[in-house]
Amino acid sequence: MDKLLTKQRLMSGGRRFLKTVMTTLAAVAVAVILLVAACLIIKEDIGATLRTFFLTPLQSSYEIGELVLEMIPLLFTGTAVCIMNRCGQFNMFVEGGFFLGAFIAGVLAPMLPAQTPLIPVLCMLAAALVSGILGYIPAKMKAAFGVNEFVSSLMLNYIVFWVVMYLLHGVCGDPEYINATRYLEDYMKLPFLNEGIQLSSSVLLALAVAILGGVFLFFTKWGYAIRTTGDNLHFAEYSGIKTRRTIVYSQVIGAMIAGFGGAALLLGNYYRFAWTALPNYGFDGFVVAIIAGNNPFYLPFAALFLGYLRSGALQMSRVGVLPNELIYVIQAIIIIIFGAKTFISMVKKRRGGSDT
Amino acid sequence: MISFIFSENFLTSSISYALPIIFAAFAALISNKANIVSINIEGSMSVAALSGALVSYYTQSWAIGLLAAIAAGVGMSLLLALSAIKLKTDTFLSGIALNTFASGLCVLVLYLVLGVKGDSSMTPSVLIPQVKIPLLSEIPVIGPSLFAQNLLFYVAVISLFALMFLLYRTRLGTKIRATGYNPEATASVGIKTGRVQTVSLVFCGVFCGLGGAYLSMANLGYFSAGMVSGRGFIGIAAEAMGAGKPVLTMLFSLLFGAVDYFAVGGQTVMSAPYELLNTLPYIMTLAALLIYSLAKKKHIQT
Repeated sequence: MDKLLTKQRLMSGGRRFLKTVMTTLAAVAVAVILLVAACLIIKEDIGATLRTFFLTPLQSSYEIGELVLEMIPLLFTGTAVCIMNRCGQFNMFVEGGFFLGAFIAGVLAPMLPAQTPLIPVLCMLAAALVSGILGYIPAKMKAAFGVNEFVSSLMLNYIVFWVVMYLLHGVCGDPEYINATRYLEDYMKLPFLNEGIQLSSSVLLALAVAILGGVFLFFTKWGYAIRTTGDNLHFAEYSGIKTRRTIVYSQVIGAMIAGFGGAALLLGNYYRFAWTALPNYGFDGFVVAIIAGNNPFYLPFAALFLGYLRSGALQMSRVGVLPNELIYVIQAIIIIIFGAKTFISMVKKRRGGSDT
Repeated sequence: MISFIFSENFLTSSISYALPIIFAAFAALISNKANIVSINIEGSMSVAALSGALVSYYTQSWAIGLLAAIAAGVGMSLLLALSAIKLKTDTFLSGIALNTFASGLCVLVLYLVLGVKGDSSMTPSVLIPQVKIPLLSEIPVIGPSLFAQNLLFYVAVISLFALMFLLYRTRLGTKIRATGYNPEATASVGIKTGRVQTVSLVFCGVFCGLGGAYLSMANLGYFSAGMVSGRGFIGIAAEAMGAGKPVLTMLFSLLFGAVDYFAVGGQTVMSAPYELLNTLPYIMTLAALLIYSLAKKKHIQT
């Protein structure tokens, strides 16, 4: 009996691996097809474009540093989205929370006296706290009154954006620098691992958050409550889980991670907060969470994969062939491919497995 | 400020700010009736706006531009049908994917066609005309607001009646509502629910097309990236407030339009900073969603 179970588990593990490999290949194929099609339209050299897209990100240590930079927000927002998705909550405040977190760090760090110990840590915690408090709004509205968290969190994003813009223009900005916060001195920032390629220790924090997120989801009772609530609300309720509370804290924790991540990215890799639009990192977090199958432990790989595609698109836009926004088209197709149940069952049928 | 709100201009402008929201809300309504939450309305409107702007410029005809916008809206809806109904990707995920797709596609197409990234102001759209109905538009106060509006305003009013007729007076409408009410039971009597949902998504696409065309061919004379700025989502909220009833949905959309205009027009008569005024439509949507849910809850309890 035990042997049979193990065998089944191995098979399903193998199947899942095969599925992941096939979907990944399909996603890469889609990227290639899109690139070739775009090259044909604007009559660019196909070979050169593909080389730029796939090889430049690994060309030198500087480009690898940029690839790592692409991964940092993906790891933070991906972890936040995984936790909320597992609870069945489509909350988009990751976007606003990340933005707000970066802003808070940018404003707070120069305000603290220089001798304050652990300035970056204080800033990141403050960012997490404020984002968490705001994240409580759509969460509570969903749990208590059944307000759709997707629409309410999007509205909250717009509100946060405009309030931050107001503060940036009027109250908290650097008077000598238009639309930006004050300059971040070295002692306010997270230390660099390698200054030459601008590799900051924020990447270590990002990896730690992803792993801690995985531990939280799969090895704690709160994580169990979240997963059960997401899988089957009624079952969770009957087995004594306080589902309303679970729905609230899954979203608050997601918002806190987003705020923390925004602060870590700014203090690790920027010298001022000067974003004039929502950076779309929240939606990117969705993509990377889907690739990772909503499992934070797989996020480093998923973030590497998506980060690689994103930095390929970035390099390509620098050469001036195609705009960076091409990556959104690729990301959209990735979501659909990775999310398609039909695709999964197609793979299963090939293997002759039953639908379990 | 009071005189600002009660001016004739306020009514006229509120209606024109409400129009894209009305179309978005109708789009949400028809797809919701068939049990599909199509959050891709935002993206569909954006693609439609771009398509309308470019085609109207190149053909120098607003009519062909409008048709192209509708075609783009329908095309996006069919993509949603392909993803959510055929490939069985979660509807929400598909919607998120399509919104992402739209934001990338618009910039990409703009770049491939015009070589610029931000907007199409270099190639202004041919505008959809204002239509002045003789005699009726002479009525004081409401005349200019209701009878000297953009062509699409009359389309919106006709859409309202068409929608009511379609949903409550035709076989197709019955099938759509049945599918939304209980898909399994509907399928068990031999109705192909997937096909019914696809048809309702096509209608949803038409409304997205009209809303998008209004943005880039009437409200503003060109396409600009991010010009929908949440109106698709506000439309979804208006539909939720209207509880799926066409007339109520339209009234709530008008209310949202008024707040939207207040945020823009208020900047001239009030000293409040424009950034904070810009939050008004979104705060109002949040508050409205909350009130609506509270009222519904009370209703269920009593």
